[in-house]
Amino acid sequence: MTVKMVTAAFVAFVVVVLVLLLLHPVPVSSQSTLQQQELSMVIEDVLKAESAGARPYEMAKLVAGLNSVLYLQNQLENLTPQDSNKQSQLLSQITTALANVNAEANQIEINASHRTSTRRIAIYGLGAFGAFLATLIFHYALLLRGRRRMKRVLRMRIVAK
Amino acid sequence: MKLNSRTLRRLLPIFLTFLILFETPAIIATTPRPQQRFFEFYALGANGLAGGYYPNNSPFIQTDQLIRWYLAVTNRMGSMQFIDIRVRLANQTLTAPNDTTLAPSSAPVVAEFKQFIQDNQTWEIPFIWQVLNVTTTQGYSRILQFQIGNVTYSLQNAPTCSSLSSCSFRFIFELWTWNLDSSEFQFPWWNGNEQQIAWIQLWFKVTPGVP
Repeated sequence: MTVKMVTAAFVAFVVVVLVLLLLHPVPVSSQSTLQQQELSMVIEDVLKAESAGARPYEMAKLVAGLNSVLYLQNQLENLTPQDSNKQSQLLSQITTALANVNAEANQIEINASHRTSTRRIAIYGLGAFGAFLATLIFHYALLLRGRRRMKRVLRMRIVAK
Repeated sequence: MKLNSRTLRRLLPIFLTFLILFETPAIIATTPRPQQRFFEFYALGANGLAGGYYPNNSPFIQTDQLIRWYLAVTNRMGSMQFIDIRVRLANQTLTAPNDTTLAPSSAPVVAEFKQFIQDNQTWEIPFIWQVLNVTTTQGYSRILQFQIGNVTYSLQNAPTCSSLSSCSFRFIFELWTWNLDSSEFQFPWWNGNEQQIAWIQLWFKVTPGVP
């Protein structure tokens, strides 16, 4: 009797758990959502490269890479469910293209930030050098003026009136 | 001539004054200036001009008649943008995008065009389309099928009109931009502290024969 009751309770528990699982499906990120997140991360990296001071031709290259990803995604969306081979091929192409753009964006960002900081140091250094030069000119101009005054004083004659 | 410490002490404030004078333009030159951020979004007719949108300058369009428009977006946002142009088909009663509440149109989206655009670059989309199939059931007319470029679109919940001759349809083109924080497209974009939207609509009437 007790065994039967335990078995019935166990079966009831399993049924309740199964029903709960069916009512609350575990959220699983779809392929497109994952791709969208990946794309968003790559866009972020490209924008970082741009704000670091990437040149227009470097940005044009990155933008072309991102647009090629869009083209592949468009092709993927238009596939029929029968084209599973083509689908996996396009998915791997998209992943590769995104990785390439990401790597290129990171490299451009490093180069651009290096270039920008070098340019800044050069501009500020030039300012400091200009200030030093102006101070020297100012100093020697004062000295020259002092000497001329002294010479003028020495050339003066005392005339009795 | 050697500079003694007294002279150096005298020259230091002069050097600092010159330093401020010389570095100020350097700081101004290297600091990015705040600029107005916006998009230029426009539609052109068959000849690439702001006119000649309809054949024979009549908004009455026959089925299977090819219409050629050009949509263009210029990015003046100061950075690369990911753009989505959502094409909606509406009748006279469906709401257009609201410039006050910044809400998009209630008309169904029939097509989308996505592209990454570099700063200060223009993206031009040839919008070549034709109505393929129109039906009238229970006194209401609606467009069943139309073609944009090489793609045919079949409409499930297309807006209806009481009669083809009295009712106008319109294409509403909305400019959506990618939001990095939410990882999705958003209709309004930020220009400083202000939100803005961009959209265009072009009206047309469908006629089975010559008007």
